[in-house]
Amino acid sequence: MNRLLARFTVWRGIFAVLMLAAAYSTYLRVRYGLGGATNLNDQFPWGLWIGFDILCGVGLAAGGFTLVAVVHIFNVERYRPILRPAILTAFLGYLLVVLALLFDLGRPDRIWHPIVMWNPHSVMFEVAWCVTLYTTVLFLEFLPMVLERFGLHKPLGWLKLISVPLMIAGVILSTLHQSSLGTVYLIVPEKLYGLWYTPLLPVFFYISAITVGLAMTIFESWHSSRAFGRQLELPLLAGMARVLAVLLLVSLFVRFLDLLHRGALPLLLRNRTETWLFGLEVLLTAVPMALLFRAGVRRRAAALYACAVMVVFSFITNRLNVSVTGMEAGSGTHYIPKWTEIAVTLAIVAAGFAIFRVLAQHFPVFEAEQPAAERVEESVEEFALVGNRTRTGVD
Amino acid sequence: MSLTRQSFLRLSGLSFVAACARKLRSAVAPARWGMVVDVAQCLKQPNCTKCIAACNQAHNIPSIPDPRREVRWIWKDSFQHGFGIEDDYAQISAAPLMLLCNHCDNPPCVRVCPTQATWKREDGIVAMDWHRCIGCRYCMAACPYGSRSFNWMDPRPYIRTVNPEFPTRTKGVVEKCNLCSERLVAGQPPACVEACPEKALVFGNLADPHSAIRELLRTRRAVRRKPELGTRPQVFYIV
Repeated sequence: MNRLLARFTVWRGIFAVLMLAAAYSTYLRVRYGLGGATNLNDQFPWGLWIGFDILCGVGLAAGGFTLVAVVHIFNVERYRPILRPAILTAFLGYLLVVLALLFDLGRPDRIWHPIVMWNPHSVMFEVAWCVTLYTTVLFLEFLPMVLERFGLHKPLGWLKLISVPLMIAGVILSTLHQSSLGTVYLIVPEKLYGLWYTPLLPVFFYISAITVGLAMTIFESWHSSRAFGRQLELPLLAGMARVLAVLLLVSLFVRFLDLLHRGALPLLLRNRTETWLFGLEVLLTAVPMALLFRAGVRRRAAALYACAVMVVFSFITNRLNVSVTGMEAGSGTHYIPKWTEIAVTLAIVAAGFAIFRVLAQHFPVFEAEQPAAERVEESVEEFALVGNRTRTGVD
Repeated sequence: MSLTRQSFLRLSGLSFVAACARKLRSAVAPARWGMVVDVAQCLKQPNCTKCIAACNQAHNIPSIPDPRREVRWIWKDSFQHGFGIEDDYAQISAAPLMLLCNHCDNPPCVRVCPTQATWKREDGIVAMDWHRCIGCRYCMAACPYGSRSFNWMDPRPYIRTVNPEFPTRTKGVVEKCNLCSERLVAGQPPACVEACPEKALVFGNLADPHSAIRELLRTRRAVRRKPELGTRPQVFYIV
C-alpha cells in the first residue's frame, strides 16, 4: 500500500511539473508568438505540434470509429463492452487535437474561419470540416454516459432516436479525414523523402489509422483493467488482435508493393538516417505482426499489450517520418523541437490520461462488473492460460 | 409546365446574348502580369539591394535581425537554391540572384489554403487577405519556391519607417510579394522594378503580344524555376 502511494505521488509530481512547464510555454507562445515558442522557420513551417499532436492525435483516437463500425455497422455485438472506453478516448483525443491546433495556428482566434470562408479545393478545408463535425458526433456519442449518470432519461431517448445515423456519420467522417491527413502531404513531392512520398499516402494513412485504432483499444483496455482493478476482456482483445495481425500484414505488403512500383526500393540501400527510420517503422510493424499470428501470444495479456505498444510506436514513427524527419532533407534545414514544443506535447498527453481517469471513475464508461459466477469461470480459464504460458515458455 | 413558343424564343435569345457577352469579355481579356529578371544585368552591381529596400519600404516589411525569423518578399539567394540544380558551365551559377513570388499560373498555395486567404486574381497576381489567414502555414509547406514568410513574432516594432498607405501585419499570419497590386492600380510599376538602377527587372503584360516583356521573352533565352512541378511560374530569368 505504501509503495502504491509512493508511485502515485511520483506520477502526480511529474504531472505537476509537466503542467507548470506547459503553462510557461503557453505564456511564451501567446506573448512572443510561434517564433518564441518553437524552433520552426520559413523553410520548416510544420514541426512536432503538427507531426505528433495533430497527426498522431487523430490517428490514436481512431479506436472510436473502428469499434463503432465493428459493433454498430458489422453488428459484432460481443465487442460492446469495450465500445464506450473507445468512444471516450476518441472524444478526448479530438478535443486535445483541437487544443493542440490552438497552439499551432498562427491566429488561433480565427480557428473558425474555414467553417465560414470556404475553399473546397483545399484538403485542409476538408480536414477542418471533418474534425469539427466528427468532434460533434463524438460528443453526442459520449453524451449518453453523462445523461445516464444523472438519470436524465428523456434526452437519452432523443439521442437513441438519432444514434444510428450518428454512428454512420462518425464512421464516414473518420474515413474521410483519416485518409485526408495523408492527402495533405501529396502537395510536397519535392520536399518529402522518396520512401514516404507516394500517391497512395491517403490509403496508407487510412489503413494505419485502423491498425492503430485496434492497438489503442487493446492498450487502453489493459491500462483501465489495471487502474480500476477490472477483469481484462481477454477473449475480445485476442479476437481483435487476430484482425490486427492480418491488417499489419496487408499494410506491410502494400507499402513494399508501392516502393517496388515507384522504383523506390534502391533507396533502402542508401546509408541515410531516412533508411534507418523507415527500417524502424517496418520492424515495429513486422515484429508484432509475426507475434500476433501466434494464438499463444494473443492469449497472454502482457504479450498482447507489448504488441499493441509496438504498433502504436510504429504508427507514431510513421507519422513523424512523413511530417518531420522525411521533410528535413528536402527543406535544407535541420529541425529539433524546442523544449516548449516538447513540454506542451507531453502535457497534452498527460492531460488526456488524467481526464480519462477522472471521467472513467465518475461516469458509466465501463460495463458493470460481471456476476460472481461468471468471474470464477473466467479465472479458471485464466488459470488454464497461465499453464499454457509456461508451456510456450518451455517451447 | 409546358414551354410556350414565346418563352422558348425568349430563353434562346437570352442564351445567345449571354454567350456573346462571354466571348466579348474574353476578347478584352484582363492583363496577365509577369516579370523578367535579367540576371547578367542585375549582377552589374553585385552588392546592390535597392529593390529589396524599396519593397521593404513600400510594404512595411519588418527588418528582423534573426535570419530564421525574417520576412522577405524579394530576396537574394544562390542559383543552386533558386533553381535546385547546379550548372558548372554557366558563370551565373556562382552568383546570387533575385528571387520573389512567381505568381504561378497554377499556384499550389492557392489550392491548399483552407480559407481562400490567398487566391489568384484575374490578372494573374497571387494575392493575400491577411484578415482571412489563420496561420496554418499549409501554403508555406506547399510552395516549392520558399516565397512565403510567416510572422513568427510581432513585426510592428521592426518596421523602420511605417508607410501609412499600406497595411501592417500581425504576428501569426503568412505574407508574400503582391507584385505591388496597390501601385498597379495607380498606374505605377512595382517598387522593385522602379528602384533597380540597371533596369534588370522588367515588368509587363504577358497577355499582350506587343508588350516589352513579350518582346524580351521572344528574343532572349529565359528559364523558370522548377518547371517540372507544373506550377507555371510567371517570373522568368534570362541567364
